[in-house]
Amino acid sequence: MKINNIFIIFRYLVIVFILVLTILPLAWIILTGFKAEVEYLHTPPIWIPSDPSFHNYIEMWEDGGKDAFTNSLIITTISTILAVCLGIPSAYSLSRFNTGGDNFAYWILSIKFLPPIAFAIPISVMFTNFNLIDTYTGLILVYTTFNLPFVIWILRGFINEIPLDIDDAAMIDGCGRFKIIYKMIIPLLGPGLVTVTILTFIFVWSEFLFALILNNSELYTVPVRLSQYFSEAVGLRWGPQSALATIAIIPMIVMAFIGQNFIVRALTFGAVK
Amino acid sequence: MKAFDLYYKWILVIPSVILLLVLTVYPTLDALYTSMHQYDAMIPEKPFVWFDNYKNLIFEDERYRNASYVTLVFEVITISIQMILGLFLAFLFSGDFKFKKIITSIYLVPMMMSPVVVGFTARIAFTNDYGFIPQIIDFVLQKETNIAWLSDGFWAKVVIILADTWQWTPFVFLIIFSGIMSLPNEPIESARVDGANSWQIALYIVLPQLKYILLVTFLIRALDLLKLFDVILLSTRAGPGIQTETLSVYIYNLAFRFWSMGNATAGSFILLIVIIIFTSTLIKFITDYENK
Repeated sequence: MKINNIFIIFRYLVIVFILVLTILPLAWIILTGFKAEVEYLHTPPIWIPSDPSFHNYIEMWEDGGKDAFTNSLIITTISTILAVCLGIPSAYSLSRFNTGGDNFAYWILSIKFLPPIAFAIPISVMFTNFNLIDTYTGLILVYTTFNLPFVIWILRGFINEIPLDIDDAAMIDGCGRFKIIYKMIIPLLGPGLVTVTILTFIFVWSEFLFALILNNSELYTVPVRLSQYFSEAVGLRWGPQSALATIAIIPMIVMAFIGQNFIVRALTFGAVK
Repeated sequence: MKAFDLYYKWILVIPSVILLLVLTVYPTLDALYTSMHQYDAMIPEKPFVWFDNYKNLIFEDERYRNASYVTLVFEVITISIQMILGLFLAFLFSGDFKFKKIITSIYLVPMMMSPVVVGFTARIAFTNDYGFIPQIIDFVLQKETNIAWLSDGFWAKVVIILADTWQWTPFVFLIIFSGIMSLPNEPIESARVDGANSWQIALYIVLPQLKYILLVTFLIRALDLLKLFDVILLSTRAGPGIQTETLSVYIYNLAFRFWSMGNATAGSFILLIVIIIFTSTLIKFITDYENK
């Protein structure tokens, strides 16, 4: 019994320690967003801003933050919708007809893991030739394409679990394949579809490498704007930068809580159910 | 299947396939072509040089060797730490305790953040004089450590490893934890009846059943770490010097700072091949598991 008590205390200590380690860095950027410049560049570091204000947020917003946020929101929303809309019929086809055989499905999944830098170089050349650098179209094309493998593979797994009888019954009622997909399959996917959509949204929102390479500093997303602060010769703008970092993570955290249902299954590509 | 479905099944995948062909297969072929030509921003001719760019990188380019070494260091050390910590935490969380649900949710927040934000956070947290981590370490040790976190090659690597561990241990934990939760209860119960203690159960009953999940988690993380880029650009900026320059960062620099496209594409092609080997192993495990 005594050993058991020690174990319980040990467990609580570890859990509290981990929790503190998780929260401290988050608290630090959130607090830094509310500090005055003399406070975030102060030795020793000051934790609690003495006169918290939104001036960093205002500065960040007017100094490119607003554009970055708008760009990110437009690009992320459209790419996510496109990837899911194109992904559902493909996933259905792969699940019901095993279109192209197993190797075709594996090829699609494998793209998810390949290094973006290997594609980014030739794509940047290609986009320069087609005038797609610094355009919404360019980034939306890239994000839609590179998230398709994830959407298709995960939804394929979910559709595999929907009984074939549903398709057959609908077909007897005279439904075509398209009608089956959006009348029967999509409603049955329910929370699985929500998780996939939210994760795709998070992937696109966070993406940095393509966004960095496929712009000439006119069309920047939130991650690119965040990185630009370091290359500007204006000193350490940690206050506004922290403000931008904070508004970049809050939507993601909210979304992650909504989409928690099938998150493990989606993140392991169906290996863990 | 009706005769009608025979071509219909292809109509459903064609839009996706066209996008994938245009933006993955074509660029790969284009990169292969470029990697076999000599590119120099000053000279308009681009002679065909077979595998000279590859030879240059592998045998003569010190900086490429450095990037491979740095990537390997991050790969091996970071995965080891994350797997051990994740496994340990998963076992710890498998029992019942107060506020378990909310604590788990908070613990998962880092993996939802952009790696760019994690990199930025690491930078401002570790900066000497202004960052809170040196402050806390000095406070705990009760002395001035004066570690040059971001300007010393060794400590800069530590910063990257810590940042990645902070962000991705929750991911490893979450997957292993779900794996443990999905295991059948009977063998564990009967072992307990036979008098086995918690550690014996963990080691001899739970761990062997987690084999597949551990392998899949390991491979997913290994693949991500081979592509490490965002965190580095925002925290150490590959420095000091090139001591935290990974393969992706070096290839990026070759292409977009030195405009050495031949070498850059050759480098990215080697990386691509390594990753394809890892990926085919991972996909084999994933599909084995799916079919079980």
